[in-house]
Amino acid sequence: MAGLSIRGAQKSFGDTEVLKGVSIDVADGEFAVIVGPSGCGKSTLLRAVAGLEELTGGSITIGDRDVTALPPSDRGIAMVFQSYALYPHLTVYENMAFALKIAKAGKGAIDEAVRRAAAILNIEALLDRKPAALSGGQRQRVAIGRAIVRQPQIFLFDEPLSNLDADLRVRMRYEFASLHRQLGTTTLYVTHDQVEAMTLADRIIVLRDGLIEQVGTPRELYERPANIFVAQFLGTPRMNILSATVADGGQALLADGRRIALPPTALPLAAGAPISVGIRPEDIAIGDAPGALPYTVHFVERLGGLATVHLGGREGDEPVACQLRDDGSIAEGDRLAASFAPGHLHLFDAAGRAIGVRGG
Amino acid sequence: MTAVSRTREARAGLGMSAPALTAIVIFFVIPAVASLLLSFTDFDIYALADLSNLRFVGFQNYARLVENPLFWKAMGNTLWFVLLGVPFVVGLSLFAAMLVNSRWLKWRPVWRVALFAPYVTTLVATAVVWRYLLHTRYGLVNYLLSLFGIAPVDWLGDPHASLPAILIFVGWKTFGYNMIIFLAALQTVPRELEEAARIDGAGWWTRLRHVTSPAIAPTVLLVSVLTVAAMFQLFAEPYVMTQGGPAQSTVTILYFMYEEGFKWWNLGSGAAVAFLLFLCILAVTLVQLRLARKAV
Repeated sequence: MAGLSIRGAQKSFGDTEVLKGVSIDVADGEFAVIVGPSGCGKSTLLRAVAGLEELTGGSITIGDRDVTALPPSDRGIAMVFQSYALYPHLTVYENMAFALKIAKAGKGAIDEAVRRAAAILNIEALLDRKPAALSGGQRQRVAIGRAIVRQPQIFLFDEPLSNLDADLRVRMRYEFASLHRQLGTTTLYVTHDQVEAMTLADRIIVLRDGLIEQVGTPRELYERPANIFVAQFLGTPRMNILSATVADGGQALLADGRRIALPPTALPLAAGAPISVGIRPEDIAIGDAPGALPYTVHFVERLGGLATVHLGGREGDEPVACQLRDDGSIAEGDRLAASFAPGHLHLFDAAGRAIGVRGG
Repeated sequence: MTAVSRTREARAGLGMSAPALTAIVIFFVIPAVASLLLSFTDFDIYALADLSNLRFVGFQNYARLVENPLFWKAMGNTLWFVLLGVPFVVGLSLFAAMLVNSRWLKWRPVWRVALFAPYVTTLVATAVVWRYLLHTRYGLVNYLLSLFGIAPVDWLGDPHASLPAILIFVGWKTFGYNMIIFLAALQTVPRELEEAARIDGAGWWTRLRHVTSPAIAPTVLLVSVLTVAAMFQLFAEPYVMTQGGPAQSTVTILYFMYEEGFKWWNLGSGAAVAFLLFLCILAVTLVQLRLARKAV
């Protein structure tokens, strides 16, 4: 096993710059997730690590080997594709044995490796079947099995759960996590789904427009997002962002004319400076309290145990969403008071960068 | 389902397929049956003038064909055309398709048009050009061969060279069409499969064998069946290039049929040839399908 180091990765397709100098370090045994909206370059980056895409600039090191110029098969990686990419005319066994057979491994060694991987994934009963006779989840397992058999230094996953239905996705997510615990192989995992990123990752890399926005543990990114993009990308419902200006007395003047108290991080800010105030829906407290603002309930999304309540005030007030335990008592049209505790506020400057948080 | 509704359903089905069935009956079944009946008569130029001269002769046309050495010569030539021509044309088309499908090739659309162009050119016009290209003394083909130290070949005058010469012309003329079919098949091969194979360490040949071939196998079968039928029905190319010569080395079954029917006006005999040809193509196609079913 080995770590992965990407230095200044650049990639252009014609005039389109997809990666604009990305540097990432993944420690040995770490589960790193690259997340970002579609078109951010995450798949291109993964494919570059796999050797399927040639970088325009920069280098890739696996362990202590520079693999930038090596063909895919010599890099010590195994990749699981979104479409699974199983060979349709080969059985599950032959699919899993394919790479070892090409590498001219002995029959006994191949058999042992395939059966061991099949046992780990619980697919021993499927070994004689062709991919067409498997369900989506089973194909996914075989694709992973094919990767395990190669005993790679690094696993690469390209949106592996996108083709599964919601229920199966949750179960496979759990299995990925336990598989990683069991094998301990360094993993680079690409997804556009922030829930997958939050639940699976040791470390998340948020990518946008070919540049890294922030790197950190899921907790770090959630609690101290480096900018508005990261703040709103992670977490559902997404973080409320209210535009405001710094006022006297450690307060902010919201665009609708109301005032809220700011945390001490805002102290160095000059009065009149434009800022954005962020607060997560679950951090908004409902009920009368000093400084609470009056709101009207515009819409309630009931999720069963929880409800997302969309609040609006008078004409011109900025709407905010808050998340509450749903006891059925809140109805549209209700008037209630909401308070934003200073400790839960995230402050961003005019450029959208977090104030008092260092980005990655 | 009740019997009544089943009848009704059958009637609706027949009604909807009627237009297509009518066309098939008028343009295929009736002519085919007519020519089969014709092959049992002595239909000739006299019968054309006065139908009362038409007589039913049973299998006499077939019996006479079997005794005609030129029929067997034509049969043999045609078999050679099929045996050599089908692998040649299918291989050439597949190679061209892979070439214009490869990612490293620049100006791919231009290549595709250029390689498809021969198929849509006029046969007679290109035959004239090819007669020059294959000319013994001034032809480009012999010039190119001379660069490798090969003595000039009398392509269209030597009975041993004429058949390959026609094949080269046929291959050049038809591979573009098959290339398009193969190209369509190649483009359905999932890119991720190819990439998975690359990661698994598969080289060019292994990828061709395990990724490309299984995916395009049905298309190869289709193109083979079409090409076999086309090779059995070879006529225009020998007609314009060699008129069946030299020494009847390029007389094909269809050429023979044409001469029987429209040179000597033995239309009954010509129809018999046509029917035998039909049986040949049917038999070979059935064998191909049987083999393919076993393999796929």
